[in-house]
Amino acid sequence: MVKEEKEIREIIEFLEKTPPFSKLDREAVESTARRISIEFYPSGLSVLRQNGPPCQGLHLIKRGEVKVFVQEKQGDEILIDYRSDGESFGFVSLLSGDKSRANVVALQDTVCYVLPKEDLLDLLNRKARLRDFFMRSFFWNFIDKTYDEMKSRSFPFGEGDKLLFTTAVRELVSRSVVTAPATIRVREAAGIMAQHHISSLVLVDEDDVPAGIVTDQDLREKVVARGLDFENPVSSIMSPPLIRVDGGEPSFEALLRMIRYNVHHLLVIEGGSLTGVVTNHDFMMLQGTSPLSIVKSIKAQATMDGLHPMGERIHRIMAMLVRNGVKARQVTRLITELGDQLVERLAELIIRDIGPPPAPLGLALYGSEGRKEQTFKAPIDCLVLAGDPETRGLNPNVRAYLDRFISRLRQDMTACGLPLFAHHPLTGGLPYDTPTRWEERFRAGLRRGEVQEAGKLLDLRHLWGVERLTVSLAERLRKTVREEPEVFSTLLRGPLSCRTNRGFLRQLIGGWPGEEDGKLHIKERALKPIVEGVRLLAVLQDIQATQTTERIHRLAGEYKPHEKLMQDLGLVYEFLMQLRIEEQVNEMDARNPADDVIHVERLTQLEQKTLREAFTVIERFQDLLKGHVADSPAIMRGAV
Amino acid sequence: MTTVTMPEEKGFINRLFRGAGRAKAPAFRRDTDVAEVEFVVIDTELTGLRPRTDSVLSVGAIHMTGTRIELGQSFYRVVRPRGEVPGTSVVIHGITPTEADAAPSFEVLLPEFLAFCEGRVIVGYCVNIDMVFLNGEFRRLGRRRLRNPVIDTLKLYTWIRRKQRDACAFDNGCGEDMGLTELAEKFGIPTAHMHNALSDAYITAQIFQQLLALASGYGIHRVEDLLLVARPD
Repeated sequence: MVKEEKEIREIIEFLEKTPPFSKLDREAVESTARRISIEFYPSGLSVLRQNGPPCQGLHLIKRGEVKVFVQEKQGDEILIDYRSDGESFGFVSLLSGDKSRANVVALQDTVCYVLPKEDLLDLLNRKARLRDFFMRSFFWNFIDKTYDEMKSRSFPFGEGDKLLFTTAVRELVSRSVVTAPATIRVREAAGIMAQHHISSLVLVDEDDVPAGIVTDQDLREKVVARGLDFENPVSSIMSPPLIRVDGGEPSFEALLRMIRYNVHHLLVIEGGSLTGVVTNHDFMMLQGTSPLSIVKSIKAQATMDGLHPMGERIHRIMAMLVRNGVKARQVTRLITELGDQLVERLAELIIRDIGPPPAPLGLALYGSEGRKEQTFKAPIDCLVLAGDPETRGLNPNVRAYLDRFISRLRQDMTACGLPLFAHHPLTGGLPYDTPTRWEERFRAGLRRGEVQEAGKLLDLRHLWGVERLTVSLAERLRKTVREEPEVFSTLLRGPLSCRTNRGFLRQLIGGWPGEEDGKLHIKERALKPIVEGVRLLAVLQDIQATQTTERIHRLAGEYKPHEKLMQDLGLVYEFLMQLRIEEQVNEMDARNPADDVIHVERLTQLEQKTLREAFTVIERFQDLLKGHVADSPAIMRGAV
Repeated sequence: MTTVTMPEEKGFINRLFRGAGRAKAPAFRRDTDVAEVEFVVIDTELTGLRPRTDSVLSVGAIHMTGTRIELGQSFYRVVRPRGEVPGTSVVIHGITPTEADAAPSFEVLLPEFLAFCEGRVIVGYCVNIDMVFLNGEFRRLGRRRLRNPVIDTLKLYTWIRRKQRDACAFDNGCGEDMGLTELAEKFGIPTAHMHNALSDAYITAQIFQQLLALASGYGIHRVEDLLLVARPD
């Protein structure tokens, strides 16, 4: 009689509450539990080393915490994740089998349940739910890697990040598909493949319906390596069933399917019929050349009507990116860039229609667009600069032109689903002016107490047209803040207005509009003090960058004694943005209007813990802001 | 008890294994990395503490490879004792006299137990007692005693504590008289199912796992180092 239930039961109970194992039937959980071994990693121990030996089993954290990160060639550490109770690591290295992709270090004494590779693979083969779960998380890492690889190449338009997500599968199919009857022999199939220089041959039945596919890998592994007779029917080595992908889907989906089913070829189907085969080779080509992409298709649109569906397309792609685990920072940058492209192209088309402007004209973005942190929610904050930097007013014919220009731009952007010129106290109903007048509007706004709105102008970024208009306004505004203590101290009210309480999250929430128990208005409570505080310090240091992460990075260099705090703040900011954007996607999925309210109870324990940590960092940052005022007599004079 | 000594000549451990039960070639050399050593963490429940009159009531054993506990490979048998099972001991280990009477004798499980221990370093908490009783059973059956190298977790703990004390003068904690429960609690290991031979072996394995990690911090990387500091007296 083997009596081991009590000990095994502990593992069974753990698996039963740990996704994805919790989805398995009782029998599978029990047999899995019996295969598990237990490892202990003391705090500080390096469990896996990047490029070191691969992991031999899936590590499920029973208790403890590990940090997963990669080291870049330049020595920079890129944090991938913190994992704790109930989470896992080692999957990617385990599947790839050649080496570890990342470093894993125990941050606390950590006990792991380790499921051997063979047992996991066996489970993945048998249980679709488990497979989906891990393939998703595997994909996270894959995307990171793809991003890194893509970033290391140069692209005609700067970044290749978007290609996977914006190129339709049909655009990847480089040639028409070659088919042959499934009844031919191996020798004939190989002959056809050689003749057409193709790596795969689709085999069809008598009704011309795809019955299977044979690839050069099949020929190598199933025929040559095993000494199979070339006269055998090709059907004996072909691989059914065929995995298909719709030609209209983004190539990202195709890649996901290849990974999920571990195949290198997919059939491309359009309108029910076979139009091509897409291979992993096509993906390499996608990364290495400049293919069609949404950016290109925006540029290529010659008419407004052609551009109108783009807004929807951008939103769809972004939601997909977030759902598939792409980092918030990357997503917001993509939204911003695609939005930029759209506005630019529209502006060009409008000019073509209504003629060239009678005075220098430029479009600039401010607020979250200026910081390249546009999320799904807000209308695009855009303003128009006209005249010369030194001009005060605009003559009537210029005004008449601008009215026409803006009305067209507004109309077309609304048709694209990306409303422009949000209602803004500073822009009012008139989103154009000379740089001088814009500066006056900024001061007037501050006097009226519109601190937050005025502050957004400090994130000014040139978009289209005459750049010097934007540059001169941005310089003037920065100078004003630096040299006029009253202005600085008024602006400082923003980031200091929301003091957070130490202690538990429960105490942190409640009291803001839209917040009820268990909800957190993340933008007001957490992001605002960071964005506005960082902006102010950056302006004081005359840092021209507008992105919050970039500003933090630069400030870490300027404020040496506070370097660590700044680094922490950078991590906190990224974490909060991630929470925010994921929540927005969830709301969009549920067809609710996207808002900035986080449901704290839906967060994982680790996220809640991190959120608490985040608030202590924010509070330290606010202390630094206050201290900075105290240290600067010039600024103190006008301090609140 | 002279289960293991550490003489200097090479191949000593090899010879130890040659003598043990049906032992084949040993699974490791004395300079084997601890991470690769096969351990078997054992615990026994006894009818009493006098080797002459009392006997083994149950045996629990868990396999470890380095620091990894292979819980799926565990061994637990109730044994029919030679004498009577005192009724009071039911409270301790939960084995009723009826259950014990129905169990096979030690002789029946012997081959299986030897196979489980083969080529592995035996580990236990105050393991001397277990070894005395197990070897007593072997002797009665006309078998040679277990010749596996043996490690005592309490001994290892005490050694580590001494090392730590050297580093911190204010720490006067000492391991010598710590019970298994106390030790487990110290390492944050739940002790809900104690006093079953397998549960206790499991708890001991978890303690040993953490001790190995600590010991590695003091330069214990090879099995010979481990035996040097943690063999039972």
